[in-house]
Amino acid sequence: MVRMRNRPSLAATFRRGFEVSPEMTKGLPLTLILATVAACGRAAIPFLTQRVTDGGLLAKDGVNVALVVHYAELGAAILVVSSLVAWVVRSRMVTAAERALSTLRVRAFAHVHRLSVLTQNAEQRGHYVSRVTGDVDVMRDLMQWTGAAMIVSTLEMLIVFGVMVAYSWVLALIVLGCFIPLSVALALLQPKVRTAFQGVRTRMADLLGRTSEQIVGVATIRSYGVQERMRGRLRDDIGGILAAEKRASVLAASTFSMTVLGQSLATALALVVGTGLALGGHLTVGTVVAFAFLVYMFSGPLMWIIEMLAEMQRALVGWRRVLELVDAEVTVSDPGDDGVEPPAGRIGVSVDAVHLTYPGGPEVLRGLSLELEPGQRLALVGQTGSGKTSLARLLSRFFDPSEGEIRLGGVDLRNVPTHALRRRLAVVPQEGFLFDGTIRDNLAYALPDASPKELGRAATAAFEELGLSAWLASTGEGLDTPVGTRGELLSAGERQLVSIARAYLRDPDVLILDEATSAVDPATELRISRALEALMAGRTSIVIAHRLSTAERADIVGVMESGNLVELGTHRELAKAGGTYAQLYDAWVAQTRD
Amino acid sequence: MSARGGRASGYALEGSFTRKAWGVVLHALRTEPRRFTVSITAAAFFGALTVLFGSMLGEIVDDVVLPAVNGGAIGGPWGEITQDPRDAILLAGGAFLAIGVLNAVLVAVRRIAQGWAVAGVGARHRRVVADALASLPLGWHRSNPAGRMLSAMSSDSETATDPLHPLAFTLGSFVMMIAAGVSLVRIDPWIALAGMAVVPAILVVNVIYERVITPRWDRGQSLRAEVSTIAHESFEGGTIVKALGAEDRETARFRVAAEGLRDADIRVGRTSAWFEPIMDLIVPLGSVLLMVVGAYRAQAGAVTVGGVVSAIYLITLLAVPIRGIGWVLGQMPQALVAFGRIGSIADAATEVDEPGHIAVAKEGAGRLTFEGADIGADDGNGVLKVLVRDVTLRLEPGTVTALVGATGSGKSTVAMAAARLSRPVRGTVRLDGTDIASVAALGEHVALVPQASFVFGSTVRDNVTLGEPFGDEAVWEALRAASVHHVIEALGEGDASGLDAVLEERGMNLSGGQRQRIAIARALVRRPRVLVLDDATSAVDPRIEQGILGELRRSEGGPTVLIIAYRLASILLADRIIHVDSGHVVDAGTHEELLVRDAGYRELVTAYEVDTQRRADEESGWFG
Repeated sequence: MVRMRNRPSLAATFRRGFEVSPEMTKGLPLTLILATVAACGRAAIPFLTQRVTDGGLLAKDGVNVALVVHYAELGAAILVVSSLVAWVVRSRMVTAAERALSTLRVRAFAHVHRLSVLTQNAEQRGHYVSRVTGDVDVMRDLMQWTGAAMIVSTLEMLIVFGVMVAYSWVLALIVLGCFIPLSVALALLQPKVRTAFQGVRTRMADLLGRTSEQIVGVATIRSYGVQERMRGRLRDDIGGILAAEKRASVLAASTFSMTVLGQSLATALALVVGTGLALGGHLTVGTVVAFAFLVYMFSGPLMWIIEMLAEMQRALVGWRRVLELVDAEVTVSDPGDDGVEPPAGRIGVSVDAVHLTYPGGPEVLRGLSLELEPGQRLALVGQTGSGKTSLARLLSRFFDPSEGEIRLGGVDLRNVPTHALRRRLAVVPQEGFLFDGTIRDNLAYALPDASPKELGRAATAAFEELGLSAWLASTGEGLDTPVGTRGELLSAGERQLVSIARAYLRDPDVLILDEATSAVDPATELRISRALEALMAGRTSIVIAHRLSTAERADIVGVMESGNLVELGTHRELAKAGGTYAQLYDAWVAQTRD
Repeated sequence: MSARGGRASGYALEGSFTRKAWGVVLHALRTEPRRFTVSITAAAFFGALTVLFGSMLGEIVDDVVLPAVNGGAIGGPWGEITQDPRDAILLAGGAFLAIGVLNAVLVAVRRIAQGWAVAGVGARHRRVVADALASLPLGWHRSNPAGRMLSAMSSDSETATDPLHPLAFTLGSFVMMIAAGVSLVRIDPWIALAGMAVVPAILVVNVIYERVITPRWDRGQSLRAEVSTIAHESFEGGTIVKALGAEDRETARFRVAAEGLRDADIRVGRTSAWFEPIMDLIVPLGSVLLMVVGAYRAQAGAVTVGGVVSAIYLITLLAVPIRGIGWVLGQMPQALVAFGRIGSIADAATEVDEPGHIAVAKEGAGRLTFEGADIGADDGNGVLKVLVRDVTLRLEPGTVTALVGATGSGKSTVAMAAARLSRPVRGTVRLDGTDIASVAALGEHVALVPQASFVFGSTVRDNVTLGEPFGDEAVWEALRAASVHHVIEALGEGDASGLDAVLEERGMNLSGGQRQRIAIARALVRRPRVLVLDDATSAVDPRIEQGILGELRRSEGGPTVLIIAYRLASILLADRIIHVDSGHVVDAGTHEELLVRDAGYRELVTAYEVDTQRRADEESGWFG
């Protein structure tokens, strides 16, 4: 499970973030040194202005053009060099940031697949996608521009302040003093700005939710002629967003204009006090003039930083979320090379006193035991919620039991290396999920090491043996038939056929399958049941059965009720035993007599 | 199909980049004329005052600071008021501060007006998309993922307004530039020439940058979409990935895309890496140039020291607004793409809400006739593709007709034509003799329940009535007829009626079958004269399905029913069966008639035999 943790501190976020993506810190010291150099270069202008004013323009014996030209040459050189350095700094930052982000993306992606199926429920999946895409993209802005610019701007502010102090510490303190009340006010306003923007995002999520509802219902909306009413609902949401955005922009505008106020105040005071000091002979005129520039250069980056604070917050939240995902505990771990491969050949399955409790939920399996000989077929029967699906998931090791043990060929599942487990045991889920591409691409998942030629041959043979050649031919393009996103170009039944073929190509020793329940067209239904029969022949199989015929053909039938096996035996035995199964069977017989 | 026009207007962009960019700006100005005017005016005043601030700096140096320090006479307006250097400097400082405060107020006004204006434009984009939703042909929704619509509402609407944020500031700064130019010329024409040279330099660098960055940026965006698609698909198939042990394979597939994106982004980043420093370089270089020119002019006695100082300060002040033009232009390419995407949605929204004008009497069940109809569906690009040919059918009032055929045979297309959601390209579909295309308020006559049940985040009552004034009694009756009243009763808490229970977004707190039954209740509450069930009961428990359909058939004054179902028992309830295969009606008649003369139907029914067994499975409680 993704653990909910307290918000980690800023330092902790950075520490862990750099640990996960070491590229970010690689060469960082040099980058920072270069950034300082570039920022110093930018501070050259007020310095030069002062020199030019005092030494060149106000020289005692008229304007000293030679000196001005000399300073101008010097200034131009400094500027060009510092721009070149700035270019190098930015290049380095971009490269480091992109490399780091790419690593982070891939790590987060790989980690999602390592999490147990429990954590991969439908609701979580959407969040995962937005973490490896949206959240990382938000951070990208932080690392590439905001972060870099923040560092550079802070350096600039420090350097400019240093220059101010060097010229006149009194004036420097006055300037700083002008910005102090501002900072306090900003600190108070910032959280409000953040809440306001949060409000915009929440309303946006509402709008998107309602929009997706209506997209699903568009045929209904049109056929009942309620377009205008449904538009009204969306317009209400849009109005809500507008109102929230207006509130947010009033708050943001007031914080920004306070910086302008601070700047004006500082310039005026610097001028008044500076001239006062100049009257007393403590300062030169050039210095007073230079201060006007320095205040401007000091407040510029400051305004910028304030502007970026909200975005920075957003990026940090994104970063924390991605890191939280990367650090989510993997509950189903791969023993890897320390594991034990189950013996070669046909293998059996045993379930030994297994309990299962979902986190924060009730106990769904209560000490269940079961022994399945190699090659035997077990049909599990029971009401929704009886624990059939949970048992099948444990057998597939989508997660581990809370108590007890499941053995594959005598080896505890937890000790079977994952790659071996996936080779020996195949799962055919209810909803045949296919990846975008062709039928062939999807089959390639079963035989990752096969050459295209081998795959083609094996696939053709598989369809032949499963009795699906005619169907494959009817698709028009055969193995090269595109299946579309999620396989949606095929019907639900056809997706099932492809997933059966995929499992068949794997040639597993143990099969776990979940019979589909929803109605598909009968011709396909017939193909599915024939193909499944061919797939299960000779393999140890566990089937979650929704058809009596499936149970009839199984070697053993297990009836589940509230987390336990209540009946176990052959179809014949159970049909006569007078228990739950017999009741189901009698009802079935009565139905077919209609 | 003439709903185009009106709604979509203002979103057509043509011509060169500049013309299109101008089009986006005009669209914004027309949407929020008052707020943009306020904001641009505030920006212009701000610009003018900033220039005044800069010129004053020079004047104060010349008239107050220099005389005060060197012991000359205080000049300018200050000198007229006082000759005491301390008073003069206080006065000058006060004037400075006053301008500063006024400027802060102007900044606030500009930002608020601009924020509201941009939010207003964004809201218009969203409204255009929202309005289009139900007017887009169904084919459009089929051939475009829901994400297209959602991103038009969120990211496209935001991206399309991005260049508008600095718009007022930038337009206002033209005023600032002109004012600065005038001030500079007043100081000295040569200085003005040197100073204003930075403006074209910045514009040229910007244009070059746009040219270089746009294709790189586009490439990055398309790779970004690819990364997101792979993640989406791979996580969605997470169980399969695990079951097949394909985690590493998937990670490798993702890594290729992620690294492609990384390289593209690095290329974009490195391009910006030279652009930004060059932009930052131009203005300071301009001021260095000004120093030299200023020195020569001062030596020649053409300008004062204060004049030179002012000129340099003015140029420094100009740096930010000039960069603003860069920001507007920089975000324009992306904005144009996003704007175009919104426009194309608006353009595709061609369906008229109420195309009919002929009132048909609402009496008893309806008679639906298809006369040699070739029925087509919009393929999403505005082209009608014929899917079923030459359909001639008669659905007599009060009868139940089942459409039978393999997946993709065209059953749904026929069913949709009854609700005017697909339409005849040739021939006609008539309701009680009137061409269905001209029937007014068809929704009051024909109710369609489609395969995907629509349940939205609101009360049960809203979900059933869709806002029409049906009484609670009628709603309960419909829920009862759809066999879902027990579920809704259980949703009621204490005194609150189950009708007031709020269903979660997309009805996630209901099972698929329950959602389908609510959709059926929604149709029944309208007492339709024709009811079309397009595979609307697939997830409903078979026993309940039988109950609902049986009741419909038996009820006095019940509707004419057209049904698509996969369960044989449901099909057998029909008076007449229509066999559709590969876009043609093969045969129509009773089950027995078809069994005798239609070989294809016989084959289908053999396959349905499996279904009899399954029906037994399901009905005896195996449907666990």
